[in-house]
Formats: sequence, C-alpha cells, structure tokens
Amino acid sequence: MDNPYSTLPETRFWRLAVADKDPTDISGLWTPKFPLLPDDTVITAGSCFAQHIGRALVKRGFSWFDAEPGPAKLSNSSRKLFNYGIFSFRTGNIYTASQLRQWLSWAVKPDSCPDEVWEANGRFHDPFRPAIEPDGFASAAEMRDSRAATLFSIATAVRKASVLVFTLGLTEGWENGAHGYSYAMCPGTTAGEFDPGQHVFRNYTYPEIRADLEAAIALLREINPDLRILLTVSPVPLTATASKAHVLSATTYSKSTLRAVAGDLAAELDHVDYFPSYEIITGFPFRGMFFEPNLRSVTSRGVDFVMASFFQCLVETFPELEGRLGPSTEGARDKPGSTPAKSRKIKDAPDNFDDFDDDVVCEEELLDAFAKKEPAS
Amino acid sequence: MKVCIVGNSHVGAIRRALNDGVKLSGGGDVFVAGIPLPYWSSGAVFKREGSCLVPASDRIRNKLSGDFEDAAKRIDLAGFDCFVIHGFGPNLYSFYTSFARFDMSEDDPDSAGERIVKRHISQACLKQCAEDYYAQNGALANNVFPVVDIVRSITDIPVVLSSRPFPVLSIKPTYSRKLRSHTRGVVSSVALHERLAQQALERLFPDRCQPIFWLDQPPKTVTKGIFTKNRFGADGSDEFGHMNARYGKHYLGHLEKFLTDLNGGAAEAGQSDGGETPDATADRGNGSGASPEAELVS
Repeated sequence: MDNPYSTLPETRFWRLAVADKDPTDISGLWTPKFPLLPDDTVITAGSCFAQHIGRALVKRGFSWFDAEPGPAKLSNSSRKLFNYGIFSFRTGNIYTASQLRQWLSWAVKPDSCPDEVWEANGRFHDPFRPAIEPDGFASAAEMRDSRAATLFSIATAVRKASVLVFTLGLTEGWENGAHGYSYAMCPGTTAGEFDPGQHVFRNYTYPEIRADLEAAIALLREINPDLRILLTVSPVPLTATASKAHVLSATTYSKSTLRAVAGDLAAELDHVDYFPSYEIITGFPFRGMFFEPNLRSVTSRGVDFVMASFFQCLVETFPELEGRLGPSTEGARDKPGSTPAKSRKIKDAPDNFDDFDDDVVCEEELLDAFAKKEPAS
Repeated sequence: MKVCIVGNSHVGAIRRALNDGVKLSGGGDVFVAGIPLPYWSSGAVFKREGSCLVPASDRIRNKLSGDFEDAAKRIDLAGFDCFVIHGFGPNLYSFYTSFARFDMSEDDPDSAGERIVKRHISQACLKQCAEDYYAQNGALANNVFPVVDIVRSITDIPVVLSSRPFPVLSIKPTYSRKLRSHTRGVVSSVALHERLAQQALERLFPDRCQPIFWLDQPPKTVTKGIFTKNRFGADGSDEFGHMNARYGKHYLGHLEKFLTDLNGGAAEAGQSDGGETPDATADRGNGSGASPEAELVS
C-alpha cells in the first residue's frame, strides 16, 4: 500500500542519502527556487562566510557587482586592508539581521543614520564599521562622508542587483541602550570605549530576528522589486559569547535560530531561498573535515565543496545552465562531459581578484584576543 | 655645485637649455647624459667600476649620449654633488590615469539640493594608493631603482628622481576633458603630488642611508593641474612629446632651488657668471607647509 514516503526520492532518506554514502558523495542538498545565471548581477553581504561565496561566484564567471570599488591600482593587500572588494559595499561584516535592516533603512533614508562617532588618539572610527579603515579616519567629517558613500553604494547595489546573497552570522549583538540602534561589534573591542550604562548586550530571539529580516527584505524589495534573495547561515562558530552560556551552546543556539528563520522565510516567500552551506560544513556526517584545526575557520577545501554543491544543485535543477557556469574549482563534482563556460572578466571586481588570499576578513575574531589564558595545570 | 643628470630622451630639454647658455645661478656644472627609453627597459643600464658608472654593455654605450670626454663613457660620481634620474614615470599624467577612479569625494546635490556623497576615498587610503602605485610602477622598479642602488653603493650624494612632463597637446582633446573630469577638485596641486610621491619613496626605501627625493615638474610649467603648458612643447609641429629649451631652463631653476633648500640654503642664488640663469624663482611647492591631508580637504 502506498504511503507518502513510498514515492519520495533517495535524498529524503537518511540511510540512502547520508549514512551509506561517502561524505563527499552526499549531494542534492539544495533545490533552488530560482535560477542563478552568469549574467545575473549578484551582490553579497553578511558575515565572514559570505566573502567565500562572492569569490567563488567571481571564479565561476558570475557578475559579482562591487558598488564601492577601491581606487584602481591599489594593491590587493591594501585593498583588503581598507575593506574594498570584500563585500559589494563597504560595510564590513554584517553579522546580524538587525544590522542588515539598519543599513538598508539608512540607505533608503540617510538622514536617519545616527551621528555617533568614536574618537581615540585623534583618529575617528565608525561605530557601524569600526574596522573599515585600519587606522580610522582623519576627522569625523571624513568618517561621515565615507559612510554616506557606503549608504549610496548599498542603494546602488541593491537597485542594480538580480540576486543578493546574504549570510546570517550571529544572534548576539550590542545596541545603544538609549537609541536602540545596533553596533557592528561590541564597543571597546575593535574601536570605541565600552560604557556599561550605554551599551546593551542583546541575544536576539527568533521573533526578533525574523522581524528584522522581514523588514530588511521589505526594504530590499522597496528599492528593487525584482530582487531575489538567497540566504545562507555562516558555519563559522562564535569566537566568543557574551551570553551566560558556554560558547558551544551559544553557537548552537545562534546558528539554530538563524537557520530556522532563514528556512521559514525561504519556505514562505517566493523571492527568498536558502542554500544549506551551513549544513554542509557543520553537519556531523562530514565529521568536521572542513574545519581548520581551530575548529572555527573553514578550509578552502570546504569552501570548494560548498560551492561545487551549489553549482551542481543549480545545474541539476535547471539543466539549461549546463555548460553556462564557469570552470569548476578543486573538489567540484560537475557531471562528466559538462563543458564549463569560460570564466569572464568581472566588471568592477578588483584587479587580480582571484589572487585575493583565502583568508576572510572577520572582525569578530578580534574577540579572541580578549580571552583570558588559563595557566597550565 | 656639480650636478649629474641622466635619463631618457627627456634630458634633451635640459641639454637644449644648457646649449642656449643657461647656467646654474649659484655657479657650477651640469653634466647631462641620456639613453633612449627602450634601452632602459632591459634592466640596469649602468654597472659599477670603482667610483664610476659605466654602460652595462657595448650596445648601451653606443646609444648613450652625453657630455662625455672619452669613448668609455664613464661617469665618475666622485665629482658630483647630486645625481638626478630624469624622464621616467610616474608623471602627473600617469599618476592621474592610474587613479582614474581616484576621486576622493564625488558628490552632487539631489533634487532637494541636499549633498549626496557618491564616492569617497579616505586620506589614509589615498596615501596608501600612492605608495602602492610607486611600488608597482614598472619604469621605476625595473629601470630606475637598479641604477639608484648602484649609485648608492658608490656615494651618498642626494639622488633625485624627476618625471617626464606631459604636454596637453600630446593627447586628444576628448581624453583631456575626461582626464580633467576625473581629477575635478581632487589632487589639483603639483606640490601635493610631489609630497605623496616623496612619502611613498621614503617608505619604499626605508633602509637606504640617504633618502631619495622626488622632484615634480616646475609648477610654472603645469596647467590645469595635470598637463604641461603648450608653450613648453618642443618646437616643431609634429613633436608634442618632448620639451623645449624654455622648459629645460625652468627645470634647472627648479632643481637648483630644490638642492639649495636641501642643503639648508647654503648656496647663494643669483651669482650668475654672465650666462642666462634658469628661473630660480620657480616655486617648488605651495610654501604653506600644509599637509597633503589639509590640501586634500581644502
């Protein structure tokens, strides 16, 4: 007698799809809701892991759009130092949904951006992009102009994009207690001065994150009604937690909550999809093989595997893309006989973008410097 | 003061000025030698022999022109107070075109008249740009710096690098307009370019016992912040790329003023021995002492 399970494909059964397979043969993890074509203009934002996605798209010949490119001839190392070419606009990492909503609301209405400036030793730091300049800005006015240019770039990028890939990173964040706006990092870490009377820790809950992400998506669609959004969750564990939980528990809470929000919104909204890079890297069937020895950083092999899965799923769902995607990277499992499209020069991508080293720019890692060292027993 | 100037074809303007009787106002001699640019591109054009620079090959010796007294074409640095390499990039044109999107701040008022900042490059990034640019400049790295290293192994006299001029006539008008639009309100001053270049050189050569100096075009020869005034173009309807004796005169005055300032003003200006003196009044910088940063935001 038939039942709802009897006609399901192999990927719906643990033994067939996971347990009986070599981890690197686990496939079909994603059924894209909409195609992603090399001609589509893709923008990326979010936490550290989104940087890998942007670079992989460029390597595959996708039109990754950099709305705030650095000066021509700036060396790659300097470009990275000044946070050019990391994301599609120069916000630095956007770790929380709250920060994304905030940036978009300021991009739509720049006057609503708070006037707070952090000053130390004659240099000026942006509370919302504290590490964007290695030594801060020369003046508060310069910082404001720079931020204004970034807001303009956000609006430009969203307006021109076909797809936004946004990687959710954290549930934890810090807010200004009096005004309620979110900081990019805890004040006093990368820059600024921590004031317990003013700076409030928040561990955002599912309803809060969902409300922020819904508001962010509404703003995105207000700027560009045709924009499609591809959500991912960063597999990178928390560097540190300000919650009362163990960092492992805090990481589980954080990632689980983000994963649930992303999945629910993708299930409900036609123009939103979720790609399971988080599952691929962190899923226990993969036995942690894609993490560096610090069990935090993702190896280049892991990134390659994720992106190979990404493109493979695209082609499997949309066979017309066969041969139109760029050359595969190491670890790719494109179907035999497929002809990769020639990788194209990407407009507005930095010179020698492919030569960017694989290290991602992750401000959160600085928190590790605040860890107390236990004496060896 | 004895000055040794070597370079490419652009040393011709200096030689022409000297041919016209121009002399250093403080007295002294100027030695000029040049090798066509293609022969520079193959690496160091000189090698060391004692205190002398000698052509690195017979081929280069054959192409080396200058005020030599013997066929060996040796340049004995022991007799000079300054060594100048002239005519290589980056010049103002190269600098600007390399930073075609160099606009520090591009902003327009919106429909309500409010200012919208569309692009912004911080001052710190601007300085980093200059440093990266000079570090990546092939002409300097491949042609000029090897010679500087040889000179430095012989003597600690000041080494000055000066770029080729860029006459407005040598580019198409449409491109000229585009170039100017790129630089609108940004780095409009030769003095600023000079200081950025100097800062970059100092960071690129931190280990050398004596600093290397960057000398830009004489400000009086520059127009629109980028180009060389047409009247300094070499005479002849089809010759836009090189400069004439009037430019050479300005250059020598500019160089002498720079060296005099470098030596604490020890040399006395205006002691002409009867020959035509270069334009020693040419102002090297803006004299305000303002930092590049202050100038950028003004």
